[in-house]
Order: sequence, then C-alpha cells, then structure tokens
Amino acid sequence: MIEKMSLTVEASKLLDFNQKLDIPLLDNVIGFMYNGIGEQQRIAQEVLTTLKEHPDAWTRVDAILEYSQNQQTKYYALQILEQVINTRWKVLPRDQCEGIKKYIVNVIIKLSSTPDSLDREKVYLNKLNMILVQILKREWPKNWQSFIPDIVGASKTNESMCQNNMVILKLLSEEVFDFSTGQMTQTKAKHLKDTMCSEFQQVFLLCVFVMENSQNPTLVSATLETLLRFLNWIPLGYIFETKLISTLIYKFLGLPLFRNVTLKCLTEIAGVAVPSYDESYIMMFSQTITQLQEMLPLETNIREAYANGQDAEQQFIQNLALFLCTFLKERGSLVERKQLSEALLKALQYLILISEVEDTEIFKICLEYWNALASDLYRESPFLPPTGASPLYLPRPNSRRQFYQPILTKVRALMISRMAKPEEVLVVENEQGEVVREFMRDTDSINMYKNMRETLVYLTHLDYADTERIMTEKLANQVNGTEWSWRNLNTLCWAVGSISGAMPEEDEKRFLVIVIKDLLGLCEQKRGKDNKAIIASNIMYIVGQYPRFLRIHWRFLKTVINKLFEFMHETHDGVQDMACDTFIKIAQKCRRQFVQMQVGEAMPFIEEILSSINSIICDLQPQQVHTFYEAVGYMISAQSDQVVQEHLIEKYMMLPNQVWDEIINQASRNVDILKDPDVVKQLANILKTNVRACKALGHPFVSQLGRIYLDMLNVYKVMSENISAAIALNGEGVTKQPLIKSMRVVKKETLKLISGWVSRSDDHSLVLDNFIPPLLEAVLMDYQRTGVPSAREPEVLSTMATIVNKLESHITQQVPKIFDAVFECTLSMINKDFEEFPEHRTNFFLLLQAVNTHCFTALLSISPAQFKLVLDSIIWAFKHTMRNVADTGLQILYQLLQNISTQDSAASSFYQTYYTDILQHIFSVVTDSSHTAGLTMHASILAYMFTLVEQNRITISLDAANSNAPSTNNVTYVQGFVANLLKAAFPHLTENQIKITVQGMNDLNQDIPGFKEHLRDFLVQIREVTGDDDSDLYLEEREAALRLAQEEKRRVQMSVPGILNPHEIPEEMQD
Amino acid sequence: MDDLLSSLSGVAVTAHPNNPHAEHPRFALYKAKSSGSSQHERRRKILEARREARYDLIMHLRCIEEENAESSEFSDDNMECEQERRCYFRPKKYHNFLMLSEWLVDVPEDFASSYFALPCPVGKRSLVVSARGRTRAYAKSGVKVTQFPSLLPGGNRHTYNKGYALLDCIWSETNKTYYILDLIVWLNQSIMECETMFRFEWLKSRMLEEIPEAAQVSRLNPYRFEHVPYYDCSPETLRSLIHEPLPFSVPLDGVLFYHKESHYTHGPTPLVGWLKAYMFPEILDDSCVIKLMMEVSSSKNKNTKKTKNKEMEVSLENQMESSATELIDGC
Repeated sequence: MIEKMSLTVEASKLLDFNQKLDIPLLDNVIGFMYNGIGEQQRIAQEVLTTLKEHPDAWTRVDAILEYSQNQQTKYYALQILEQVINTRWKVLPRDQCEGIKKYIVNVIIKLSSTPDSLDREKVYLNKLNMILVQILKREWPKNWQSFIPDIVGASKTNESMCQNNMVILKLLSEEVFDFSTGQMTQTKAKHLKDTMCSEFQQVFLLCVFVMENSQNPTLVSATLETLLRFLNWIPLGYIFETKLISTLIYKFLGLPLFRNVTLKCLTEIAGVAVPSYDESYIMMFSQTITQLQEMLPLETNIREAYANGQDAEQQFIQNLALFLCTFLKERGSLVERKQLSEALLKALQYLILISEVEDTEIFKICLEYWNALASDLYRESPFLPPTGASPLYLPRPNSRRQFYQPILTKVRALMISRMAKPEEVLVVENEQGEVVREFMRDTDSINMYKNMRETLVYLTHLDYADTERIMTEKLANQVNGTEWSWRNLNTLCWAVGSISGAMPEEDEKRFLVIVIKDLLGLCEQKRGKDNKAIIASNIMYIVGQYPRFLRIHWRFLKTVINKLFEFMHETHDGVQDMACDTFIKIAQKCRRQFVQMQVGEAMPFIEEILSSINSIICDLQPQQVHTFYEAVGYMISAQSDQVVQEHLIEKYMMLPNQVWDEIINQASRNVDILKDPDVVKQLANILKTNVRACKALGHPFVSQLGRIYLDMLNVYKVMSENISAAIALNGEGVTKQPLIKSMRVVKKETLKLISGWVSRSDDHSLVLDNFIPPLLEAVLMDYQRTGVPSAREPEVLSTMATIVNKLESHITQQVPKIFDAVFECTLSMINKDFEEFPEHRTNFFLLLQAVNTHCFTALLSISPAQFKLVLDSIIWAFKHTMRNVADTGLQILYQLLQNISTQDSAASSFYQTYYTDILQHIFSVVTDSSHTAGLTMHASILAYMFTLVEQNRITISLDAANSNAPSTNNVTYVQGFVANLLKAAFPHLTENQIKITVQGMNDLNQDIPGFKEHLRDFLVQIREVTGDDDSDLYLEEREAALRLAQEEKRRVQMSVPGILNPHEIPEEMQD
Repeated sequence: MDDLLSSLSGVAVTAHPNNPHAEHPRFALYKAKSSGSSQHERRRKILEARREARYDLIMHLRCIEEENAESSEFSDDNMECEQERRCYFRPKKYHNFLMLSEWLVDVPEDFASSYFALPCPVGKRSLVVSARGRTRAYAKSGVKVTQFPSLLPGGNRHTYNKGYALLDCIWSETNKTYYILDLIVWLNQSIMECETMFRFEWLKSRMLEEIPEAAQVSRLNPYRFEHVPYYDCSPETLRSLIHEPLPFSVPLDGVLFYHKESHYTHGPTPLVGWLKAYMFPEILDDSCVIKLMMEVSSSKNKNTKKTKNKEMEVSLENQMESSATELIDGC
C-alpha cells in the first residue's frame, strides 16, 4: 500500500529514462488508475499521461509487453505504440521501424500458433492485429514487399495462425477500402487499393484452399468473414469465373454455422452493379432458391419462427430478406425470364412470409422491394386499364402484370393489415407552462406511412377491385367481430384513408358510401363511450381524407361539419381535439364549398357558421378555439370578391374584437389594468387568435390588422415598460414569474402576427408606407432602450429578418435605422462567448444574412467602423461549433464576397483591408477538427477567393509591403501568404507538402468537390510527421494530377469567350 | 344517400337524446335515427327512480374539497337497464357534473303548471365552486378554467373557513358576469335533492339577503354574480318573455324549462328542456300545421335558414312521391 506522497515519488521514477523501467511499479500505478479513487487515482493518471506523451516512451514498449503480467499494462503499452505509429512513424530511424515490425510480427505469431492461446489471448491479439495493420498502412508495399507472400505462406503451415491471419487481412481490407476517406490521402488510398488488387491472387487461392479442405469450423468462419469484406472490391473475375458461387451455395449455405455469413456474401454478389454475367446470376438464383427450400420449407410460419427464434435465426431471416430484395431489385429483368419463373415465384412467396415478421427493420427492407415492384409495374404502362376492368376492350394482355397478380393480391392484404400511423401528435408543456399539442413531421413512423401509402396507391392503380374487395372483407370482419379490436380498426381505416384518389371516381364514391355505412352501423352496435369515440374518430379520419367526395356532395359535407360542431361539445377525452383537427383539415381542402351558394341553401354556409360561432365554440379550450378560427379563416380566404370577403372578416373577428375593444377602452382610462394577470392572458389569447386568422387569410387580413395595429403597438410598449420596471424593482429573477412570462407572450405574439402578415402580404408599398414606420418606432426603439439584455425579445430580430426577406431591396433605406437600434447592443450580448443568448444569436445572424442578401448596398453606406464590426461578427459566427450559427456565418461570408465583387468602387478597399484576414480565419477553422461539418462551405469560400486572384478580379495589390506592385502579382503573393501561414502553424510539414497543398488550392478552384477532397488530404497530413521519406504521399503523382486539372480548367474557360483576360490568352489563339 | 345522412346525423359518443348542440328534431332536415323511448317516457322513469336513488353528495364534495380523487368513474358499459339511475350517480370530480338539457320535443299536457322557464344569456356554461378561500370555475368537461376571489361563501381569503358553495352558472365574457341558473350547494348544505321550486327560491333569497354585494364589482369580487329570475310557463308569460326586455343586458341564447319536481342531477336529462326563441310558436303552440305555416312566415324569425328548412319540410310532406326523386340528385 503506497502512501500518497511516496506514490508521487515512486511514480516519477517511471519518467526517468536513464533508469531501467520498473515493470512491477508500472503495473501498480496502472492498477491505481483503473481501480483507485480520489487523489491516488489522480496522481496515477497524471504520471501515466506524462509518460505516454514522452517522445521516447515507445522505446519501453517491448520491455513492457515482455515482462508485465498485467493485461491493462500491456494495453497501455500498445496505446503508446499506436500513437507513435500514427504520428511519427516516418521520423523514426529505419532500423527502429524494422525492429518494431519484427517484434510485433513475432508476438502475433507466438500467440496465434496454438488454438488455446488464440482463444485465451483473443482481446490482446486483436489489438496487436490492429497495430500491425497501422504499420502496414505506412510500410506496405514499399518497405515490406513480401508481406502478402509471407502471410499467405505462414497461413498454410498452421490452422490457428491461418485464422488470425484471416482476421489481419480482413482488417487491412477494411482500412484500405472502407475506412480510408479522411484517414489517408487520396493518392495513397488509390495506391494501396491497386496493390491489394494486384497481389490478391495468392490470398484468393488461400481462401479457396481453406474453403475446400479445412475441417476447422472457426477457421472456415473467419475465412468467410474475410471473404465478405473482399467481395465489395475484388476484380469480378474472381467471383464469376471461379467456382466460388457454387461452393458458397452448396457447401456452406446449408450449414447453420455458416449460413448467415454465406448469405451475406451472396447478397454482396447479388448487388454488384454490372450488366453482364447473366448466366452466372441465373444459376446462382435458382441454386440458392433450391437450397433454401431444404433449409426453410415454404410452409414454415416464418413469423412465428422469428418470434420464437434465437439471435442467429432472427439474423438469418433478416439476411434472407436482404438477399432476396437485393437480388430481385438489381436483377429484376433477369429473374423474369421464363426459365426462372418457378424460382421467382418461390422467392416472392418467401418475401411475403418474411413481410409478416413483427420487426420494423425487416419490414422496411421488404417494403422497399414491394414499392419498387409496384411502381415499376405501374409506370410501365400507367394508362393500362386495371386488371379488374372488363376484358372486352383490353388491347393487349400485359403478361408481366398477369404473372405477378396472385402475389400482388397478397401484398395488398399485407399492406392493408400493417398500415402505419399517419400522424403523430406529441403533448408537451411549452415555456409558458401551457400544455400544447405538437404535430410531429419527420419521424420514422411517418416515413413508413408515406412509403406504405405510395405502395398501396400503386397497387390500387394496378387493380382497384382487388383492393376494394380486401378492404370490404376486413371491414365486414370488424362488424361481425372476428377481427374487431381498436388496433385493427385503426389500421384498416388508415389504409382506407391512404388510397384517396387512386380509384376511379365513381367506384371510389360507391366504395366510400359502403365503408361509412358499415362504420356507422358499427358505432351504433358497440356500447361504451370509448368504443364509440374510436369509431367516430375513424369515420371522421376517413371522411377528411376524401375531399374529392366531399366537394361533390354538399349535403354530406354539411352533415359532417354539423356533426363535428356537435362533437366540439363532447366531454369524452380526445373527441373535441379530433373534431377540431378534422374540421381544419376539411376546411383547408374544401374551402370554396363554404363560401359558395349551394343548391337548396339560402346563404353560403360560412354565414351560418359566423352567426353561431359563439355557441359552437363555447365548450372548447383556448387552443382548440384557435384551431377553429384558423379553419374558418381558410374558408374566408376562398372568397374572391373583396367586398364580400371584408364583410366576412369583420363578422369573423367580431368576438375577439369585442373583448379587445373593451380592454383597450379600460386601458385608456387606467393603464394599470394591463398589469392584471387575467387581462394579460386575455390579450395573449386574442393575439393568438389573430395570428391563426392571419395565417389562414394571408394578405386580406390587412383589414383586421389595420383595425388593431396602433393599439397593439401601444400595448407592446406598455408591456415592455412594465417588464423593465419589474426587473428594475425586483431583479432579473422576476422574469420567471407567471405574470411577466404572460407579458412576454403578448409581445412575442404581437411580433409573430406582424411578421406573419408581412411575409404573406403582396403589396410592398402598402406595407412600407403604413405598417413599417410605426413598427420601427415602437419595437426597435424599445429593443434598444431595454436595459436588461435578457428582457429583449429575440423575436424582434427574426421579425426584422422576415421583413427584409420579404420586402427585399425596397427596405434598404430603413436598414441603417434598424442596424442602429439592434446591431451593436445584440452583438455585445453574444460576443463574450459561444453559448449565451442562443436565440438572439441565431436570429442576429439570420437578420444579417437577410440584409446581406437583399440590401447589400445598405452595408456599404454604414461607417467603416461599423462595417468592421459587421465583418467581425461574421467571422465570429463561423467560429462557433454550434452548427446552425456556423453555417449561417459561412453562407453570409460567401454571399458577401460575391456581392462585393460586383461593387467596383468599394471592392478594392475591401480586399486591401480584409482579404488576407479572412483567409487566415478560414484556415483556422478548416484545420480545427470540431468544424469538419463545414468543410464544403470552407472549400467553396477558399476556392472563390483563389479564383478572384487567379482571374485578376482584384485590381489592387494585396501585398501591404509592395502596394505599387501590379495586381497580377497577387496570385503569387496569396500563395506565399498561405504557405507561410501553414508553415508557421504546422512546422512538421515538409516544403513539398506545403507546396503541393497550396498549388492544389489554386488549380482546383473551379472544382469544389475536388477542392474539398484536397483539403481533406491536407487534414490527414497534418496529423503525421512525414520526415524525409515522403514517398508514400506520392507527391509527384499528385502534382501531375493537379497540373492536369489546371489545364482542363483553362480549356473550359477559354471556350467561353471573355472569361479570360486578353493578356492571359496565349498569343497563338488571338487573331 | 339520405339513409346515410340520417345515420351520420345520429352518430354520438355520449348518448344525449335531443342533443341541444345538434338540430332540433322537429326542425332537422333528416330525421336522426333515435333509439329508445320517447322524452315523455324517460321523464316519467327518472322521476320514479328518484326515490330509490342512493345519493351521497356530501361525501362526494368532501372528497373533492380535500383533493382526494378516490371516487371511481362509473363505467358506462353496462348501463342499459339503469339508464334512469345513471344521472344520480356521482361523476369523477367535476367531469360531467352539470345538469344538461335536451331539446324540448314532447310538450306535456300539464306544461304550464309543472314547469318553470329560465331565460338563458349568451355565454359559457360553468360550474362555480367557492371553497377554502378561492372561487373556481370549471367547464363541462371538468377542466378548471379560472380562479379568482368572490363574495360567495368561502370564496375569498377572508372567508376561508366560512363554508362553501356550488353554483350552476353562465359566464358572460363581455359583461364579466356570472349569471346563476341554479343552486347546488350553499354553506355546506346540499340542495341537490330538493325540487326545482325550492332551489330557485332558495337561490333568490340567499343572493338577495346574504350577499347582495356579489352583484357589484369590488376588490374581493372582480366578477359580478347575478341570479336569473324564473317564470311560470303559462302561454301569456311565455309570449311576453320573448317580446319584452330581458332581465340581463346580454343577448338571449334560449330558454330552459325546468320540471318543478326534478332534483339536480348529472349529465343530460329529459326533465330540463331547451328551446331557442324562434322555436316557441312551433313547439309550444297547439295549432295545426297550416296555422303553423302562417305564424312561421310572419313571426320575428331571425334565422332565415330555419324558415327555408321548414318550408322544405312541409313541401316534402305534401309532395311525397315526386320530391323524393328531386331531392336525391347527385347523391
């Protein structure tokens, strides 16, 4: 037991490289790091980290591996070794490299020689294998030409060694082919791939040898796993011109131990995108199907087998699904040939069975195929009458459709009984403590629904009578009870709802009437509110999915709406929500019906609704009332007569306006009522109603907006003052109180309303002349004056952004005013760190982006000091690791550069002042690993900047020391600048590396993807010290490739008259 | 199609015959399929069941006030035979607590002598509970809408332990007033098992004698509480009810008709009827169809749509054969 003080003393002995390493001591310290606590553990960790980072640490590794008895110590040693290999291999003396190589190989050989030690030292051995592969990536082939022959030769002598060698080969394959992007330069990756391909034959022969002769199951397993990795890159001859495929099928597929990996191999082969080798594929298909039938008879209940099966069995079924789907999708036309019909039918039968398995991933795989098949059959001849039509006028029988018909019937039944849920509603509590319902948009389940719906629609087009038959039968089973359950009913109704519009109109109508009749009968039959509520919801869901039917049958539509209004008083859980959701859905899709005069009616239905709004909504909660209002707004929006529409809007907003007027009246007598919690809540509610009405009405909302606009802005100001006063009195903590929160809601809804309307307006001058001035006056001034930053509404910034984006250049004149109010005070909130005030942060840059895009000239008219602040803030933006802010910053910069280049007068001074600074900042984020997501934008911007100098669009000298130099010198100046920059930041890079890197940036400046890969190569290189031997960077090759790219670029440019400056065109091309 | 429309009109989650939120059966274009007995029958049965109903409102309220929600929702799955007693069983908290009306469809012979009329202002139906120093308003579904002080018993912090009260009200947003329709509990004393006549009288006297200030706005009483006066149902009274100024300053929504002997029960009941003002001549008048037609066309009928429906209905009755095909056009 070592005391704390003495631990430090003892442990530091480890760092003394003049002494022999005390292995037992090291073991102890490692023990403390992994198992100790508190101070002991901290010291141990410190010492070990220091040791690891010592440049000579790797010299101790062999001793540690030899003499330590502790597994964790060995792993620690391996970590040291790995680090030196990955970063400094090239600067180690050659003999040391050879020494390490030999050492590692020997250890591996020793441990893998017997099955016992192979098993016992599994984990350790795997780590050694990885180390070996890392060495190989740097040594092979140049300094280790004999590697492949060596490893193949050794494998033939000893089965367990062979097994481990297979693992090594597998790892090598993955490192070179699957994981090389971002790990090595492009040229190097290419070289390694070429080498592996050219030396593959020996490896292949070894694999075949094992597969044909070995009796050792683990060896065979390892070999097959390795083969699987090879299959995605080896030359196709190895696959198709050998016995490989039949060996896999006949020898291994049937054996439980190997069937999973074999099936994966076959899948890989099936997916090869090559148009030839038809005969091989035909044989492969029929042989596999035959073999399958013995392993898994077609009568098996695969669904149950999966449910009750072990892991391996479940994986087999999944692999089978993948195999069949890959084969059928990739080789569709092949399998439809006559000689394969039987096999194809069996394959499809298997897929049907597998599609019934209760597993989402497997179902997704099958669904993809069914979707592809159905869409293919449909698109082949979309105007062909469906199979259910009368045979009398079929011009030519479609044999493909006929062939697939029985299968498609089963697929239809499948889709219908497994239909996914179309909507997902999340009930959450928002910031203001209100419980709100949120409609999710992009979940897995909704995507599944979209795919299934699409598939079922295609299937319905192919034979609607069959679809109808299946659905009607299932519906009957609901009514007679044999399949009755809430889940089954929901699924069926979702399916019915999904094929809206796919059937011919008359048939659809007939079908729909039957469905609704049956469901109504079911509702009457079932007892209990829960049952009735579910059935009623399903009826309404279906009805809402068929607007075509609703538009034609007015009386039906009217009855539905009236029933929905009735349901808006129903107290049973969820019914009111359902009624409002259905109401808005129908209102959106059938709006015109409600403003038109219908046969048999005395007035358009909208008038009836407006007369009785009060009694319809009297039992709804505020949120539901808002939805109701939005729905009615859609109806009114369909009224094209402006006069009539205005009258409707007036009636529509009467109720909320009444309450609003009352409050405003009272407030004008005594402004303090605006501090009453109930009043503030009412205001918030009224504004929310207005926001929804605006959303539905669009520009015509202007008549209502005009009515409340000035009062609303006054209320805004008062709310603001109240909040500020409260904070001044009680400190910032008061903002958590319900009343203050409520007041902020009022402000936010006001801004939401204004930005909502402006973004939908279609009369610029109306907006600019009437609505913007009071807004700027009230809201902007208020923002600036607010003393406490946290009390400023971030929505002010987003509202301004919306306005600028909508009005575009028309609002340029107001931009300086806007900037004066919000720019600096917000900047000072967000420039202290990268996290505070996230909403202000995001919105600030959105506003900047809007101004930069649409009102750029305004940016040129502000003072130089302010412009510098703008640029600084943009640079600040793309330094964020927060993705959305960084992205916006980069986009603004790119757009800014492009904008500036069109402004001749301002451009020169801009480039002179800022060009090199920008370059420097961009490079700092490019080389920062936490910004890898922005690589494409970085590439685009850098490429653009290089293009500017290459095309001599910067007419002034960028060289501060040489301001009179001609602008054509800029190319060399910039390249020199960048070279120096990189050299200073990464002193371990060689001259050559830097030269090629900078050269590439110039040559690839018209090829953004190429530029991006070039940057990636650079990022790979800075992680390692290259030393003298840079041969594996293949720099000459790279240089040649760049030269080629440059020539190609010039050629393209020259073909466009005028792109190049006259003096750049070589003499002989000019006439 | 007509069949379909009729079925659709009849669909419901909570069984509520003659639901006032749907069309009045006599005015509706499609006769909704109604099941079960007539309004007459059901009234009779409920009045009978009154005597046998076991009811323990006090226990129920005590549990509610102590925030003890152990009372179980009565499952309505097997309610066929006990439909009449259902309205006497305690609901979960305040969910479905309020007594709700049905359209007045069958007018009994002794209507004038056995019913009271209560004019209803436009507004939101609320259950107001004042207890333990605060007053709360609940919606029909039992959701609490708002909380505030009042001068009702136990309704503000000064009267914290001065008992409690439950009132059936209509909340008028524009007037900021609660119009009291019915009294359920007063100062811890339940009068649910008292007949309507008594409840109305008791309400009137309590409001006028004990807390007349509740009808005014004050610091402890931000919203006014006014009781709605009730009337007898003689034809003369009813006629003047519609034509003369109302006792409240908001528009009339309709009129409730309470059977004098009914208790305060939960949920919809045939013992409380509902009519809109324009329906009075149609429903309450004994005359035959022709006289009806003349009155309808000349009466102060604000809603022309209803007139149109009436005319159509009548013409349908007169032209059974040909109109059938005419109306079922593109359906």
